[in-house]
Amino acid sequence: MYGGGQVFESSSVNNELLKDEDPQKLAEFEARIERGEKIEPNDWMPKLYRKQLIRMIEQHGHSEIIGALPEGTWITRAPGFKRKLALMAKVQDEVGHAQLLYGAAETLGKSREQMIEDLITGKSKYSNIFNYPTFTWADSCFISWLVDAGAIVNQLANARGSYGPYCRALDRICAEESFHLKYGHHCVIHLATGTPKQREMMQEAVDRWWPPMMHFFGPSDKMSTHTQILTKWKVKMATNDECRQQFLDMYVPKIWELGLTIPDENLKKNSETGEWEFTEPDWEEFKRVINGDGPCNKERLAVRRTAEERGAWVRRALTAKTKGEEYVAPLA
Amino acid sequence: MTEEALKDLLYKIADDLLILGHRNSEWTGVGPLLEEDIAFSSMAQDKVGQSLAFYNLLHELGEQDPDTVAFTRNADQFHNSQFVELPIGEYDFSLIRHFLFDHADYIRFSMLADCPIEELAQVARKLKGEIKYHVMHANTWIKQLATANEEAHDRLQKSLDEALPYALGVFEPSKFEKEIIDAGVYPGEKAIEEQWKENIAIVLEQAGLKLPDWNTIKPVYGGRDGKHTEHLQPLVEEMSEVFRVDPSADW
Amino acid sequence: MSDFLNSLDPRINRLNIPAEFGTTFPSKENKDQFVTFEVFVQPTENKPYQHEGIVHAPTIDMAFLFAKEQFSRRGMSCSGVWVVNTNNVKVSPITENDEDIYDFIHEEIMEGAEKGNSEKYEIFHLRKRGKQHAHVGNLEASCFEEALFKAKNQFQEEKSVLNIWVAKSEDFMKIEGEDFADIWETLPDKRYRDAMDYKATDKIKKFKAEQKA
Repeated sequence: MYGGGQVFESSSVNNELLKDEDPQKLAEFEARIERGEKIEPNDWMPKLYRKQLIRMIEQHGHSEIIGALPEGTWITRAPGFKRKLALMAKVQDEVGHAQLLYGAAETLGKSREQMIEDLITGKSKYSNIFNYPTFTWADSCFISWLVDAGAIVNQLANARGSYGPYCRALDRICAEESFHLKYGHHCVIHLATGTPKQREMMQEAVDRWWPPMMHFFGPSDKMSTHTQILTKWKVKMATNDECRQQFLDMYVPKIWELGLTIPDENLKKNSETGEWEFTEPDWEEFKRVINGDGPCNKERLAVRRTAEERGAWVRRALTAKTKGEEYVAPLA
Repeated sequence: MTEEALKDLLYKIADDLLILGHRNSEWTGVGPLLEEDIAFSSMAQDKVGQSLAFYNLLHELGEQDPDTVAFTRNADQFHNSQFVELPIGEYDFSLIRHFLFDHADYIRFSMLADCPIEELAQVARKLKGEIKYHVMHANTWIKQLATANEEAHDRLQKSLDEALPYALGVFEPSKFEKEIIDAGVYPGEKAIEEQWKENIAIVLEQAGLKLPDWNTIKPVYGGRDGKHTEHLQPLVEEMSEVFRVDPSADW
Repeated sequence: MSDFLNSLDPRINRLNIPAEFGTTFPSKENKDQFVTFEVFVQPTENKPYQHEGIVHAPTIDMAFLFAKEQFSRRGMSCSGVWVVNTNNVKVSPITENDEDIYDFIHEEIMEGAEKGNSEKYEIFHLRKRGKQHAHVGNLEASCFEEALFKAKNQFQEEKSVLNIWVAKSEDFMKIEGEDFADIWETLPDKRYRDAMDYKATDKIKKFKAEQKA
């Protein structure tokens, strides 16, 4: 699960990296993308393209592995067999997505262990929304349905991007996300149309999760730094605002039809522009949380580090088995 | 054979699978390496799914529906062996438990596949393939890890020593043992235990892990009669926390 | 309790993570990085094996254990999984979409190649950028170069092939055939992993009708 709001390098660094590329190779590379062909790992590519892709795919991978934690909070408490099996499978999928994404990023030349180290040392980021807590079962249902819905909007766009291995991973991921989405919707429908206690749980979850959900796609386009070249190279496929609008258009009616209230009285579709209007999200909070000061940042990293530490002896033992054999990047 | 005897058999199988599947799902998302996280989660799901197949058989025999049975009983109404309710511990313990339990289950399901009660035989035949992978997984892991370095070997040996008395508890004879054997349902717990000792000995030897003299180990019995460690009641409460908010609600 | 991190997740609380975990994490000098294995899956018999991705594993038998659950836990069926160490796969250059890599392969590529005993090689084709490599068959050869040259005669297609992977058959771990068919037998029963199993439009309709009334 992943939204927008990726942290890209600033444009001055971009320009620096682009300066000494071979103009002819660059032109051929751009022509290939222009023709709608995918770039494969052994193709020539600009350094900046490689760098930004690694950064984006890696952040996406981290978001999956950290994203397994808030929902995992309810894995031992899911009510009934159907929910128990589904939630186990869903959280497993998130771990699986991380595996796929890291594999795609590895084809660009960064090893998985290096990426994981950069995650647990706090060097690289993951999606902000997973720094919020899941107080009740209904919170996990909100994530399964709506956070995954938001992720699908973003991932379907990125699946049309230019890098072959990332697109292949995303195709597989989106197919699995359709299960998450249906499962989550199913859970929310049951709560929203259920007993008064269930309805109350669900409404409270919507109230809690709406603000982070609006943050999920990243800052408004008018605030974000220029990503023109990344758009041209089909690294970034849709703007934050486009994704947010698409999400609102698809899901607000589905939330309302369940009799749930969205905690933003300004939320409405402008019938003239066809655009959704809403209260400007609190971007100061977004920045605060992304910089480490959210309700669960500390816990998420502590858990990931603990998992690494507890598994260290297993990996230490097994790496002894492959002594002499060299790690190489995946082929595709 | 009485229906009571058959239900007793089905309950202990189902409860073992549910509780172990539940325990093993605690590793999902925090496993020792990504790929193993996924594989171990699949097997936990298999176990919960297998338990559901047995609760469904019980439901056909007039017991309450699987959700009610699994999510509303107290610990003393569970018939699982104490082995499966123990905390997950470190990964060495979880692996050893997986190895010891799945070897037993593979033999059990192979025997039940030939059982004259067709509904039960069908379930056993169908699920045997899943358990075959679980056994492959367990054997490979134990062999590779125990022969990797001293630290891993010693951890596994220690966990094995701790687990064995509880593992023998899986074969606690039921009060209907004779009745079930006479009816030809399967050759009984003693027969599984003997075969199990042979099978695990082969793998453990390849792994360089030592089995103690069986006569020196006292099996931990009681689980089949509803006597459990202090770990089961909290597990059951945790598992049913949401469900019990309103057991009549549709979740 | 204040000594430990207090989580909403009871699983996490059982890990007894110190409340003050520290803000730095020691960087590992030697990474716990396992080698890479390429994974190929056959969804049903008679369909070609297709490249699905990679796993990292310490040994090939563990690579299979991982590959099975990462790449064949979904779908209605699976009839086989192959894994091979990435180091053992030889890769041809990649061509443009309308060029056939076989047109660039001539007898000369075998010049100077070190020949061994004749053995079986598996051949995989990429037919379009963005797609996955698919298995086309195997052949006998005494080195990779010969395998590639022979593949041209045996497997060149009407449509262009962009990229070829060649690997010795003996380097694969192949879990397939009758002996293993049962390990995928319950796949169709795992409906809880499938979006199709979560239909609730009737519940919404009923709810809306009640709201109106």
